[in-house]
Amino acid sequence: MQVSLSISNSKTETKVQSNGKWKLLRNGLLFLATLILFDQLIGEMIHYLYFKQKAGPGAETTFTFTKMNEDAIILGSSRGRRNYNPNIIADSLKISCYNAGHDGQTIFYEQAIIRMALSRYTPQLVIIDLNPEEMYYKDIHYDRLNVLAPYYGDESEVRDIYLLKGIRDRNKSDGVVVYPSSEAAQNFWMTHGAMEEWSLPVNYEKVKMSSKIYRFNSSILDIMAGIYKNRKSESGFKPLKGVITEQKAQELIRENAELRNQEGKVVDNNKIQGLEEMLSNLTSKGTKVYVTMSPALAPFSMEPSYEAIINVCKRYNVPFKDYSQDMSYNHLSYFFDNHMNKDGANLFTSRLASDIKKTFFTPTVAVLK
Amino acid sequence: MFFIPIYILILIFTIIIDYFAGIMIDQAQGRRRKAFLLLSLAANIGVLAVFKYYNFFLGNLNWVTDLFGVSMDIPYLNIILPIGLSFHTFQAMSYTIEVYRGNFKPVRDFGIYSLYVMFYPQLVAGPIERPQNLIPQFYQKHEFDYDRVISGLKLMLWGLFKKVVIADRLGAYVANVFNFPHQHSGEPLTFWVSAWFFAIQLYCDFGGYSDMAIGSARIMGFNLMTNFRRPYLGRSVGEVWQRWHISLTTWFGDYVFKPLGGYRKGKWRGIFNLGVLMFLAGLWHGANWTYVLCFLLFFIFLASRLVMKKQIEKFDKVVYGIHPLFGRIVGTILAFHCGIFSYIFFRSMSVQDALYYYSQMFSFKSLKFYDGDQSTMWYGLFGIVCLFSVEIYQEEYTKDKNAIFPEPRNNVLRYLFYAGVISIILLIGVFDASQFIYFQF
Repeated sequence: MQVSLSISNSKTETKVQSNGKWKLLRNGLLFLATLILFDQLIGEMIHYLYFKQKAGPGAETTFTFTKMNEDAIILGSSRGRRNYNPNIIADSLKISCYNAGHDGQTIFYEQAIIRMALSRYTPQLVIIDLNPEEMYYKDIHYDRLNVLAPYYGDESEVRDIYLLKGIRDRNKSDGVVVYPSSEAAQNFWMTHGAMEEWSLPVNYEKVKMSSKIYRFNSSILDIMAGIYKNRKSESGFKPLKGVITEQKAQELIRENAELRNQEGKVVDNNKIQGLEEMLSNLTSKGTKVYVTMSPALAPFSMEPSYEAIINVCKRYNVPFKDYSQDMSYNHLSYFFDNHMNKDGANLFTSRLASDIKKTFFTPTVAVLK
Repeated sequence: MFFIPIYILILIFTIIIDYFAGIMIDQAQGRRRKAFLLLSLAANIGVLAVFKYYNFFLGNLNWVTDLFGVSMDIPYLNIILPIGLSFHTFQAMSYTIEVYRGNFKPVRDFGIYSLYVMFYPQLVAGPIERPQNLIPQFYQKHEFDYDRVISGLKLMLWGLFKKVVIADRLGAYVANVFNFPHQHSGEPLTFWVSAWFFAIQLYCDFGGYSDMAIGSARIMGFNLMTNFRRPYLGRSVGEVWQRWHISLTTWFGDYVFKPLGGYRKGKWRGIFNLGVLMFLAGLWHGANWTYVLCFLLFFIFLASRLVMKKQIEKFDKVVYGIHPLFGRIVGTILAFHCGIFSYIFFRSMSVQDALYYYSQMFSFKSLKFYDGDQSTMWYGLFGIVCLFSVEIYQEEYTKDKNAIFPEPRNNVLRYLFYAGVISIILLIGVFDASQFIYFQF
């Protein structure tokens, strides 16, 4: 009697478990469906709002990617955005000009702009502002690719650039130290490696992009602000007003030197490829490209990243000029912080325009005569 | 995060020693029992001493000898701290101590004992389990339980929310202030806000990890001990301590504080014992004086509650007399601030930086305030509101101890609620490279 009771109990337990599994499967699928629906609906709503923005970084990126049609384009990070006045270039060269610089961005963002621009038209001139450390691997530069996420679904040109965020370069990370240093210890059991090397060969960004909400991660407040603000600059230029103090300048020079002396910096092949792709595509379409380093508080010094930039420019026969070496800009009155102020930017852009004119727009025949 | 495969030998070494030590302690009599216990403790503490404290000790020795003009040129060890070392050595030690005390029969199955030390949900950062709770569960048959799986998933979701929506968001602001305090000189409000944010970041980072560890174990049918019980709702500094990193505080309580005599031998001896506990707890966190000072400062707050018991009771009577809720809020805010004053040492890069930080907090010269990236501030504040709303619900408005969210009863609404929580994580969570603070210990 007792045996049959325990058999019956065990059968009931098995039935309950089996029911539980089915319940989990059924409810799990139902929840997944709700989640997908929710994600698509909310995602579409935010997508709509994103492209309704009139001002702010999102609106500027959308303009640059989809509407910009100026003859000359200035590319760069915040230094590009603040140190170059496109109106001066336009007046001097008699062509329209737009400053597409974006705070905190690097070569990847510029690569996306060029791809998008070339899909619509061929600009006459592209000025690329770089800094000497531009080509080093930095995690944060990949993190900042999230500005491309809202365009992932609509613009196929930016898709694979965005996906670099998930691939990065698995052998590099900020401040890699190899332990131990003795050659005898360089075998599997003693090598200090990154955990990422062991991760599955899956680009998780591709997986995350299946969520429409995730494409607008951390941008909802900017979107709301962008809808209600009005666009301030028609040319993309964001001049800075004010002059740096001597003390602040010395602090920044010291900090910059410290950053430059950091160990473990490695040139990033993805960035080199990005620069190569830009120069190759632009020059093959007949666009004139001018690569520069705008003036800085202290002259830049040669280092592997700097050297890499020069080598790529040489390979594509593109002129390169480092204006940080020009001591005529070595006045505090031209700087706001690490960036030039409006006066400095105007002076620099006038001279840059004159140099560009000499390089590209002086008729060769006239020179020969 | 990095790995050195050879470091697995450290784990294997301590597992073998402790496994056999447990058996030998059980079989031996008299002083031999103690000898085997000491062997086990020496092996575990020895591993910690070499990997975690050797360079720290050497640095201090060099500093002292330099002070007396006798330079000792002892080379530093070129090693890094294996991940989770402090957690699994403490878990291993609790096993041999419990066997020695006769509270637990040693495990004869080497695989089961290894699993006890290396159980993956809590291997790298706890909760630091006791053998009585975890090992018997390895022998049980774990049947599928729908409610348990769902409860585990909800706990993991809440842990993820705490980590990516709150901790990592606040961390961006905190890093800017704590890593570069001199850049914010003359901004006392910035230093206060950053200290508040760090307190919440630290809790959500480690508490979030603990929730995910406990949740994942629960899905598989294992119950791990609670590690945090809404510490910032504690009404006094003592209550905060009892609700914070419970698996570690009770470890020190069971194996250090009580054997020293606890409070049994009088108030002052009790305070001394507490001081020893706090000193060791600080040192456990890291080979740096900042951790030790953090815990010693917290000790001062705890001890003052014991020393000024009558005055504090009088104060409580006054504030609770105005209104019980008012008393509760005042108590909670004061306790929270005892925490944040201690955590400043925890987060600062050096003792000098921490002292500079304190001096800036009280240099009320201007109202200048660094609001960082404004969205960080707003998303962070939203996260904090969510945190306290959910925790107040858990603390005050539900009797179900496993309840996490105030979820609707209607199925459709409940599904929408959880879809909403996941959407918030996707919309404002921080998904870029960041690690758990406690993984370094």
